[in-house]
Amino acid sequence: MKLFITSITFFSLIFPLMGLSKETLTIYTYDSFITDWGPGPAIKENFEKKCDCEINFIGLDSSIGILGRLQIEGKTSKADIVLGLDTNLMSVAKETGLFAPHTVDVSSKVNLPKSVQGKWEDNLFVPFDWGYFAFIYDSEKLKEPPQSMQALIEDDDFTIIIQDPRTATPGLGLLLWIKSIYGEDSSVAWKNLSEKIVTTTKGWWDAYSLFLNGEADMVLSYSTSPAYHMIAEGKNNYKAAEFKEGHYVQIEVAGLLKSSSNKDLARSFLEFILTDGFQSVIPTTNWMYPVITTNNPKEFSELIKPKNAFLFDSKKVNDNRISWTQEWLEGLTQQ
Amino acid sequence: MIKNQSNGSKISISVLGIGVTMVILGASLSLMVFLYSFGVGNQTLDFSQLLKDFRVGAILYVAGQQAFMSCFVSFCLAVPISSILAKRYHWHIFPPLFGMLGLVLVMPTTVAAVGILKVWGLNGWLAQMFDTISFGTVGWVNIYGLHGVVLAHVFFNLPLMIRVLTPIFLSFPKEHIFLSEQYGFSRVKFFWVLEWPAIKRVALSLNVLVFLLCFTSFSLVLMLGGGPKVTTLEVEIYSAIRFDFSIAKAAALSLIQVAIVACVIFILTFFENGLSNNSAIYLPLGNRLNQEKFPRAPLRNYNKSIVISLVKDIFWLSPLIFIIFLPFFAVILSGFSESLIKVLKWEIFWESLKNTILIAFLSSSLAISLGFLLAYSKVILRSSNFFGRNFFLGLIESSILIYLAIPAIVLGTALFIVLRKFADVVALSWLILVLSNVFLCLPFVVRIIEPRLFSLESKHKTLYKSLGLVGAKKFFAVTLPSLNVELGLALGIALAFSVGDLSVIALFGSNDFQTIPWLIYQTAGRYGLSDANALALLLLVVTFFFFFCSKFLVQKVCSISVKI
Amino acid sequence: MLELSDIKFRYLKGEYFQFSYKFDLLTPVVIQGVSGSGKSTLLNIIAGLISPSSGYLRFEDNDLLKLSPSERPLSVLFQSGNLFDHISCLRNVEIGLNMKSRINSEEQFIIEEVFQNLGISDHKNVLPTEISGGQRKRIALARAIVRAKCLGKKLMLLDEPFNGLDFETKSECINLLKDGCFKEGYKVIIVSHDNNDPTLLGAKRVKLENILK
Repeated sequence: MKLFITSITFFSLIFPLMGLSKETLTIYTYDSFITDWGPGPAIKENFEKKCDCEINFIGLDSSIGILGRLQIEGKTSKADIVLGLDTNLMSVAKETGLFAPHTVDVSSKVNLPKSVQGKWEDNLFVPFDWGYFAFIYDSEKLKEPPQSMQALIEDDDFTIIIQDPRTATPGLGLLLWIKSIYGEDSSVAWKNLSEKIVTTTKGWWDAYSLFLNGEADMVLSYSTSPAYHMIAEGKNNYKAAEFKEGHYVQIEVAGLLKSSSNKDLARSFLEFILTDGFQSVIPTTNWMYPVITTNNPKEFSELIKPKNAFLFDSKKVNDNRISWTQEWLEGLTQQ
Repeated sequence: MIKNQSNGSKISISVLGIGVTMVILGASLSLMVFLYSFGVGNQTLDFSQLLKDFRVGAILYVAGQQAFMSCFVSFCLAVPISSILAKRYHWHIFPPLFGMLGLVLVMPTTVAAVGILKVWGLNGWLAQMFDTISFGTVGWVNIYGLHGVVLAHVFFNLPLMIRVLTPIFLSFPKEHIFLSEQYGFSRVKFFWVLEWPAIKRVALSLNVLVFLLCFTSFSLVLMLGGGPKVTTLEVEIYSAIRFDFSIAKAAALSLIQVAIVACVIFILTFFENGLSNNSAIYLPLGNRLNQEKFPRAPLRNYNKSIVISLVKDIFWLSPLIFIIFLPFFAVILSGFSESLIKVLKWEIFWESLKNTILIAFLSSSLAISLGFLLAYSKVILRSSNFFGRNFFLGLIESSILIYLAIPAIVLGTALFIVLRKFADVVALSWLILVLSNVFLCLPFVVRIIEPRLFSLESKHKTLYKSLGLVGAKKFFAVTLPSLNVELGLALGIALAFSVGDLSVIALFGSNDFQTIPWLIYQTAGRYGLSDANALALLLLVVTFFFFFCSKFLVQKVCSISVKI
Repeated sequence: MLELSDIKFRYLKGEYFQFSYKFDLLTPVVIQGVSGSGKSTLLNIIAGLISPSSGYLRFEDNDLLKLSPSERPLSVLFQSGNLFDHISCLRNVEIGLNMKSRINSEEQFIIEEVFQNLGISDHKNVLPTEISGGQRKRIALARAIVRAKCLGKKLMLLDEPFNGLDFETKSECINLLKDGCFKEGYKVIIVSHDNNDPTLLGAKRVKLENILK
């Protein structure tokens, strides 16, 4: 027993020293990014080929978790790059004062819906993928999905499963989505919607599993979810409902930390993000849209293309998210 | 001479136990206070505003309600079921059934919840069956809401209660059973005269444990609650850290939770002592579960009611089927797919398995040792009589239940902040995991060991003295071997928890140290749902295997210890 | 008269017993035999606490095998574990009156009387754990006698009832039993290893070997 503990301690102390030969780029990201079937491995390989360096991914439990970690570590963080925050968190991230300008020419390369142009642009963060939030349904079971948010709220025929905005990004996304459409009348919208909500779950996984088991007609997820079923499972029946009013957008970003001791390497990684070496990996591993124009798998062309896209600028989200969540809570708990 | 020796070792054990308790409590409390000041250092917080602004009262009410209902329903179901299982002990299905009940504890909550909903949900098996039977006229109940939460909690806690109560019911001296038959005891009388006195003490502590577990439950509540109306303080605390980014608020709320838990614990200690005096303490000789079991009256052929008795018993056992067995089966079924084979080929699976096993054995051995020490201290204190004894008992109980009081995320964050200064946190993540597992298992280990330890000590006090059995000699020759059934169960449960635990480690981030539960969450996070189900099934298999091993392991250890 | 005919019983672990005997029970019977040879098994079978796989068991023309233990007109006293530890001695005895929660005054009187005769009136309201082994035996015996008087369950199966009693107390109990047999028609079967007991009781001595086949 003692030997066991000693050897573990020994190895755990040795281990950090073992990577010292090459330059190491430490990247904080969320867990599912670095799994074997996520984007991590391919991206790591592609970049390491170019740079003669080593990438050290550290997987945290969620994008919010990454930010929380940074807040605790402050200036002494060992990370060079943070990859996996989204636009909602950008403003909070900025407030930490930990990020350094990236000097990458983003706007010329990036191809995002026009209506969200300007709202994600930032000298501290580089976008690396994006997607629309959407409600997913099974076209074999639901023949007439709602065609607008209004229809979803008014018609009584649908049941939905959503996530809690305080614990999962899609949940927050829906909150902002409804706010974008209804503004001041959001709490009325929520009251009406609440009758159709089967349950609000903690994470995306829980909600999606329940939907696949048939517990509700639709689930809140990403417009790219059907692509997974088409490509990985060969199933065509899962589709996203396209809403007339438009869909809220999630853009994921990466940033460079001031405290990094490898700033040049880090900046070159950020440049790398906007190249094919990174972006071509994204569609079939992260199941989101790449930010540059690149060849997507053909199934992606069958996904919905909403005519309108919503995105609040980060500061507005940050200032209001607590009061908006209160509003949401009230809409759902008072019946 | 002997008196001094025995007192000496007793005192040293209890002092050690209390000492360890102080360390645990002190460390936890200071972590929280530290966290609070850390948080306040970075942000401002108005405590009273917090209390007002927050629906704290409403939350506590809902949380308390579902927790109370959960433990009440679990207990009311557990008693008749355990009684029947004890009566029909000779059924061959008994050992695997018992084993299966222990497996329930290891399931990651989300996996279990999905399984439960697969049976009870709007589109579940029961709903479909009901639909077919009633030709679509009558709808199945909407399980989402308070009832759903209670159902899920019963799923997790009923097995635990059954596993604790059944051995007690099996330990009645056969003469008492005979007497009850001679005097024609009705079922109710049998309960009042035989069963209740035996389980009184355990009943209280068991219920309190289950209550606290349910009170501090998190993702089950969200998933089956149907919406934010049904919630607990843990949800708010988590939200405070992850959504409001207010560590101070989280710490403040945690302090509230700790205060509530502490109150409950002290009330428990107070009542437990009262109950001790009137409860029956059974300690038949020999290895209880291998005694010759005399089938009870309804099972013998008096030309009456064997069939009726069987039907009645199956009726009472039916909650086991619907609430536990069916969802369990659902989880196993969803694990069987091509994913199963695919997952078995993953290198990362075997890597995680190895880590998981190592951590599990390390955690559970620590948990058992610590649990034993604390249980022993409690027993010694209980049988002594000095001023302030109850206070110390309460303290020990608090340290055992500390993990329930302080949310994992708060503990984790605090630990993280503190440990950063000393070491590379990522490398130490295995240690944190082990520690958190130890404290997670502790309440269960102690609950399982303590009753019998108490019986042993009180019944044979004079025997030990007369034989000169004290201290280490007594421990190895008598105490340890007599507890082999309990230790086997405790080890099994500790292993089960350690295998299935996720908790604190999620906060630390680690790309190198992988365990299976974490692998499950990772996989599920990006559409790998059927893979995740397959992994969950494998997790169950591993745990089952552990249960088996732990029994043999403990028996081996005990037989060795007798020879010392 | 108690008749056992080809009663066969096998324990799960394999021990096998076969009993055949006719007890006339006009006088008490003392069964003697080596430890573990089946004496307790015999009593348990007569009492209905375990079921034989085949055979006949008749008591005064009643087929006992058809009756559940509480229906049989008998009381059993075990070697140990006769009393419930957490209820008072008095209550222990009252419980023996088959489910009656209210004891009427006649029965109360009988209980008082028996307690007095056995010399245990002082222990009525204490817990069994607070009295000695011999006193506990007497309480159990009191219960059997009370059952005989109040419920007419006159057949008594006593397994080593005098273990742990001093000579004086033992004589008192024995006299009480003899009296009961004579005046009230108790039918007593006692298992004992003490060779003097049959004489003291005026009982017929039966060796277990004669009952076993």
